[in-house]
Parts: sequence; C-alpha cells; structure tokens
Amino acid sequence: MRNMESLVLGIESSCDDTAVAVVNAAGQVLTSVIATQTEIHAEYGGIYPEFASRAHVVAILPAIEQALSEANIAHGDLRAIGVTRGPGLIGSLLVGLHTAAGLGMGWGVPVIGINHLRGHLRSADLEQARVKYPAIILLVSGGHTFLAQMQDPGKITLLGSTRDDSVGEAYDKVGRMLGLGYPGGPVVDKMASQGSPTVAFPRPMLHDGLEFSFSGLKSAVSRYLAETEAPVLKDVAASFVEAIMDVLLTKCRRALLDWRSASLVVVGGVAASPQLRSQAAQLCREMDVELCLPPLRWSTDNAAMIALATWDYLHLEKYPRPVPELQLSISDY
Amino acid sequence: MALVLVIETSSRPFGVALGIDGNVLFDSSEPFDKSSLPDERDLALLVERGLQIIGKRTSQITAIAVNIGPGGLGSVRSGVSFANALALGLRIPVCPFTAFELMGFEAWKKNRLPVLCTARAAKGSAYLGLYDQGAVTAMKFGALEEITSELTAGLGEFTVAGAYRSSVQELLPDSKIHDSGIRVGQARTFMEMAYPIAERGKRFPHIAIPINEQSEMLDE
Repeated sequence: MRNMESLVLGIESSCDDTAVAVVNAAGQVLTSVIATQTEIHAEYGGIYPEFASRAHVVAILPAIEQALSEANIAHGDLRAIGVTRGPGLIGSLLVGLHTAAGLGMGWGVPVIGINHLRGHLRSADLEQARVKYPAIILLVSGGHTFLAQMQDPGKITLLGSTRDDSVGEAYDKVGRMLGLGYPGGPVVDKMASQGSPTVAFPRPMLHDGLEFSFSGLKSAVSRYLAETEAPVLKDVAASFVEAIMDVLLTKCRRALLDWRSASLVVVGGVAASPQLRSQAAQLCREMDVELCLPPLRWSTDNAAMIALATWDYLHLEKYPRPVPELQLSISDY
Repeated sequence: MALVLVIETSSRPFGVALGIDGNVLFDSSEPFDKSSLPDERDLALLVERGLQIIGKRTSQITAIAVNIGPGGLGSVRSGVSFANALALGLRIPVCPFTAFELMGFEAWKKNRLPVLCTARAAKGSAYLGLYDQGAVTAMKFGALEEITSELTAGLGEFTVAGAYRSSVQELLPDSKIHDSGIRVGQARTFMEMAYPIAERGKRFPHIAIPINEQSEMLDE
C-alpha cells in the first residue's frame, strides 16, 4: 500500500472507449488503461451505441484490475473513485456508473459523478501544469464543440457551443463520404495535407459571435461530391479542413480579443489535428498568448482527465452522486 | 450466516432484496422509508438503505444473485454492472439468473405446467423461453409469432408469463393457456430460488454477462 488516501481512480465510459486511470493530486498519472472499441464500430462508420454498451460490460472490470496492478496499488490507497456521469451515451454511461458504484460500495471508497466536459478541460494539466490562467479553452471532439473561459480550474464560463454537429462528427461524416473509414479525423487531415483547398465550401456562422454550426458545411461537401463528376478527393478534403480551421481559429481569435487571457487551451480528439495545432500556434504568436496543448494521448477520451477533475471536486467539496445526467453543461459540476 | 443480495433490474423500478439463510429481511418492492433515495436508479443507495434497515454491513454480504435478462437493455446492464463490481470489491461470488428462470420459477408453482416466458426485444422482436420443472429448456429470439409456434409445438396445456401474455393467447386461440399474471419476476421469489446456489456463483475474472440477441444460450 502506498501513501494512505493519496490517489484517485478515474473511470470513463461515456462513449466507445473503456478507460481507467490512477492519478495523484498533482496530476501525475500512475497508469492509464484504455480498452478501445474502434474495431467494433469501424464497419458502421460511426459509433453503434448498443454495441458500445455491451463492450463496456466485458472490458471494464479487467481494465480496473489492470490499472490497479500496473500502478502497484490496492483499493486502500484510493481517496475516491471519479466516474463520468455525463454527457454521453446513456447505455455506456450506465455501465461505468454502476461499476464505480459497486466497487466503491465494496471497497468503502467514495464515488463521485464527474462532468465529462470538466475532465476534458483539465486534460491539459495532466503530468504537468501547463495552463496559464485566465485561459480560453477550445474543446473540439466527436461529441462536443465549444469555447469557454476559465478563470481558474473551478470557475468556467461557456462562451459558445455548436448548434448542431460537433467538429468530430463533421470529420467522421466527411471521412465516410470520401470513403476513408472511421474514425475520420486523422485520415481526412492526412488526405487534406496532400491536396489544395480549391473548393469554396461555406464557413457557417463565421461572423456570428462565438457559436458554431457544422451541419451546413457537411451537407455542402455531400452536395459537391454528388454534383461533381470525378471530384479530386484530396482537394475536397483540403477544402473541408480549411473551412473547419477558418471557423475554429476565427472564433478563437474573437474570444481572445474579448477576454483577457494568458493562454489558449485546445483539447478534445480534434486537438490531435496537425492543421489545428499549427494554426493555433500561429494565432497564439500573433495574439501573444501561450498555447497549451495536452499530449496527444490526453486529447481523446481518457480516464486520467476524469481522475484529475475528481481532485477539483474533492478540493471544492462537490460530491454529485454517480447517476447519469445527459444534459450537463460546462458550468455544471 | 449467508447474507445474499439479489438484484432484479430487468424493468423499473429496480428491485433489491436481502436475505439471511434464505429468509427475506428486506424487499425494496415492499413499503419502506425512501426519503434517503432521491434517484430510483441509484442502486448503491438502495442496497445501503436495505442493509441499514436489517442492521447489517456491506462487508457481511456473502453472495450476489443478479438477473441478466432479457429485459430493458440499460436497466439489466445497470444491475449486472453493479453486481459484478460489488462482487469483485467484496471478493464474493456473483450468480447470474435469466429473467426466464425467475418468472418461470414463480409461474410454475401456480399449476405445475410448462411456462412460456416472454420478454420484449428491440424493433418488435421478442425473447421467449420455455421453463419446465426447474430449468429453462429452450430460449429463442425473433419474431413473436414464429418463435411462439416453435416453442409451443406439442404443448397441450401451458402457462404464459412476461410481457407478451395477451399476445400469445391471441396467437394460439385453440390452446389451453393459463395466464400467470406475472409480468416480471419478483425480488422475493428471486431470493427463494437463488439462495441455495448463490454461493456457487462466478468469481472474477468470470463475470455475469447480460443476455442479448447474440447470446450463445439462445437456440437457433
């Protein structure tokens, strides 16, 4: 047994990966286990919620056992279990939540239901404190797209979010249209890097505050492909990615102008995009703010970010029960 | 002392019972003070409340029996996930029972005839199971009309239980069918059937797995 009550076990099952991690109060990650379901969903071109939930049931306890074993700890070392309670797929959330509740009851360890979005925001501080406050946060993933302002880890204001598809959904759907498979992000970015942005796709809501919309862009790509004889797919990909980046970076610039900020933090699965990383770096140089990017392994859904967020809840004495809440916003605990 | 926890979450509200040596001391389907249970989906609070009422601690539970369905997809998975995790946490066995064992056991006692157990599935399909003399002898997934005729072929008289009791009687107007009145199994009955064998259940890394249309226990 290590130091008494020095660690948090994080459990994340809001979507298609079963993730478990052990993290200390300083954000050091003792272990992070992810049982991925990519192969299960690949043939559907997106996540099949029922199969995701089934796979979580099989994977979750072995992942927890593996995490404890790799971290060389026992349940007596745990100060708490933090588990994603929403937003997410209900069938997937239920498995993680009830598993955490059962383990916590059996081990005598408190269980806290964590807002998945707060986990993403904290992912940039895993392993080292990178975020300089106040910060503007851009969360771009398969399930979420929004801008927020963080005065400190506990004080968060939502600035704008998507009104329809997330960026990640748009990537996945365009990836499918281009015959690139699932997940779409990495393959679309790669193809885009080989093409030229020759198609003038729309930039939805570019001049409208800090809200986002991507369904029109996705439809425009679909129409273009249907109406064009022998389209050059790499140019279509490049044009799509350019439109996405134009929207994201314009909104980030606007937020940085409106809110005094020391840093821009880009998190979520789409933060792995090389185009986004390089253009965000350029924007930050222009705006003289620091760019905080979590290592790629913390960009996508993981349990280490949930565990780190759990420490915030403990410090703030917030203890939501581990029951599902699908409509959580970033300002909710 | 054998303190067995049974978890029946194939439908709402979730059912939990606690019994010592087979005697039910707490049954969540019976009246009790629920003021400390703000969310009916919170199984941990429900079990804690039951333990509090009977004056026992979590660590005194010696085995868990859980309904693995078929039933509501999310609700069965909730109960199974909780049961597996609590069993691992306490290092005790978890004993899986199908919803058809549970409703069959209850319905068979009424007139000792074979029981056609029924449960809803997604997209208009159904799960059916045939229970007779202590065991489910066949289980199928598919279109209700088709699998009803397959499972009841040769049965002169039988009892029906579960979600499709009326539908089965309408499908087979010439058969002698007894309506058990049982929609889902009850936690108290579950304790009666689970207690004798619960402690011979699965231990991690073996776990209870919910039934779905791809389960191996279904007949072709």
